[in-house]
Amino acid sequence: MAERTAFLKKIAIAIGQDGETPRDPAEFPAIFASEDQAPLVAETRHRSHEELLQLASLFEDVAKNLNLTCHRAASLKEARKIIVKILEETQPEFSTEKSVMVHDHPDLAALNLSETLQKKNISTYSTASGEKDIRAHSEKALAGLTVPELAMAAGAVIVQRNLPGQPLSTSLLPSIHIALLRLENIVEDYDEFYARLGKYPEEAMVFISGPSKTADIEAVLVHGAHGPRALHCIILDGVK
Amino acid sequence: MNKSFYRENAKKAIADDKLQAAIDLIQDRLGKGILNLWKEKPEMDELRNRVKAAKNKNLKNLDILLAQLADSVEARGGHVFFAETAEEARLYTIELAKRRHVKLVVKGKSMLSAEIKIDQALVDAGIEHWETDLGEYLVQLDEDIPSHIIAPAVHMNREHIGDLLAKRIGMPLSYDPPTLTLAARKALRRKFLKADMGITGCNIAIAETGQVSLVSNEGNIRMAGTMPPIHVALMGMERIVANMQEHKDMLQLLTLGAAMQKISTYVSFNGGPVAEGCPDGPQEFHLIIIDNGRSKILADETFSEILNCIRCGACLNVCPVYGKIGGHSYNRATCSGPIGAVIEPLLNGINAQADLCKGETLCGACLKACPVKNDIPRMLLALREKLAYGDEKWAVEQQNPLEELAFRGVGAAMVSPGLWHTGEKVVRAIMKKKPHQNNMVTAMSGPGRAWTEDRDLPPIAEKSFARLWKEKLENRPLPAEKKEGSSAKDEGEEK
Repeated sequence: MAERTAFLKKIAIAIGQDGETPRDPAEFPAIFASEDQAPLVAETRHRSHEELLQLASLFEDVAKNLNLTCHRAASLKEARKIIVKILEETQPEFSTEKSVMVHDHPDLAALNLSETLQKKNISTYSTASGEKDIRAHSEKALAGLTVPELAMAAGAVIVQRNLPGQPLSTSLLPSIHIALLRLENIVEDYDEFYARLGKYPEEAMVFISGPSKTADIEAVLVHGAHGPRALHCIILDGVK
Repeated sequence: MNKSFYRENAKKAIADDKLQAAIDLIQDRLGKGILNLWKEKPEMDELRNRVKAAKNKNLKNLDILLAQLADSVEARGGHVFFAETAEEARLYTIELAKRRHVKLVVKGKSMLSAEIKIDQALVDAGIEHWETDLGEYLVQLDEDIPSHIIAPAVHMNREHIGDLLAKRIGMPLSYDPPTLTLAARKALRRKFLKADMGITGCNIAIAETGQVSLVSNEGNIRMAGTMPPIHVALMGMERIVANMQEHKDMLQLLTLGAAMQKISTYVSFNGGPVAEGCPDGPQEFHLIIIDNGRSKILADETFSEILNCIRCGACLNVCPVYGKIGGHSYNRATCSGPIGAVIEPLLNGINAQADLCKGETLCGACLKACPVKNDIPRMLLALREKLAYGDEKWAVEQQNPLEELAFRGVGAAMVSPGLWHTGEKVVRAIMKKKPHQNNMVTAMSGPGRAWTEDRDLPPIAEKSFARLWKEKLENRPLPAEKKEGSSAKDEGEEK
């Protein structure tokens, strides 16, 4: 605490304050004030299906340049098919066997993946709280399955918050990342995206806009630097 | 003139064709890109002005913002340490590492970690540490230092990298960037998964929510902040916004300025230990807020503007000087290019880093490119003024008292025609005796030698302008007296 007081006093003097009494943030709300985001949030929540489809198209256009692969699914069954196909076509990187980490989310539970995947010799591990060895399984996994609750079309960005049963490492450690995105969770641009994010209570969160990449060797673009080398986004349209 | 590190290395860099090609590539793509963007999208101007205004407001209230940030992080169970000096920051980190028996540290790319020289402290403490940004990793393996803010290994070509990785990590020799990247991915993944501590920087801290946010394309910074049990984030005290709305604006300028990206592949937010039972890290979060000379800059109105810098590196990508001499010539300082030419003298001594601010051309390209419109040329001139006359507050010794004397002499001569013409005659006579080529003087002696070392000097004309005026034009009719003669033309135009 002493070092904090001395540090802030030095700054206060540097900016022309007397520095005698520390300035209390609670007394200066104007410094933190932001515009009311409620009207914008309301706008994003009342879009017609047509408008949402346009946003999905924009998302897909932007995604192309980022090497983010988009798919559309009109039903959970279709989504499951797409996931199975991706997993069948991808070779494991960190293990000889294929396995998938699945976030604890109703949309993923509704897919009934484990049964289908078992038949294909692909193991499924849930990341739900209380499950054992999540970290060890994640390190070896071929894919991580998540459900972003928000996406920005203009940047092809999805967001992942650190929630119970939904660890951040699921979109980081496995060789590829598959995100199941509901159409109605796509917003247009930065303004809408941040308006919907609001002030979040979690300690950790990440925006993701494509697979991991680097251009550090002679500016040649290579995917799969440290994070997943592919990102698939399945846009779910019309699933209640 | 004394040989300086800066001059010697600049000469080497200019002669290095491979380096020139590498820098051309990045300047062509990113430098021209950002200048075109500002030109083609004037609406971006509003965003840039908004960020600059917010930055200025935040600097004026920095004590309040930092107090709020610390409170928010602590409320979530994170630790905050305020370090006035680099040494305090190093000590805190090393003591923490020792207390927790840390053996392996992974680092996310951080300029500040280089500024406070954390690497040497880790080595001295016997702690293995790895840079994890691919470029930084290559530079570390090569026992070199980065030469660009966002492209640390821009000075290395694929042959050099292939040989390096074959030698240092034992991979089969290859010069193929994807193969080389994959080898580094494998080698570093083992480190990420074994590391006891992750050290990152901080691009933008958000006071209101109590978080640091970091941008990366590789995912290494996510790894460093997610996998190890302890996360230490190093933050320059000025890297702060009040709320998420300001974050939204600044993030856009950062990723555009850095790499012409609408948004980076990853933007991660960290602000405390994870909840119990979460399989990810970190279990401990430490934020170290560092002054290390910044409050002195903040207190000086001439230079406080430089604290608005978002370290995107755009100024490097448009700078003709950086474009020729490369990052290492800037005295191997943490920051090179125009931003380095201002911030390094301020942080590490204006005399010691004099070459950096004197080497830039004042062409103004950096000001045009800078997302937050920092007037770097103005600050370069202010630094040079301190070098020319000395400055007590910044402990600057006058660099060349003879120079001041010479200019005072010229000043005196300029208001005394007799003295001026005598001086002119003397210099003309001296120049006549020096070697000539193509009507230019090619080798002067004395103070003029530095000039002719690199370029020729036009000789002083046989007759000065004043002399010619006197001889030929002093008695010619004034334009007003010729008025009648020109009236015909005026009439012609009216028709």
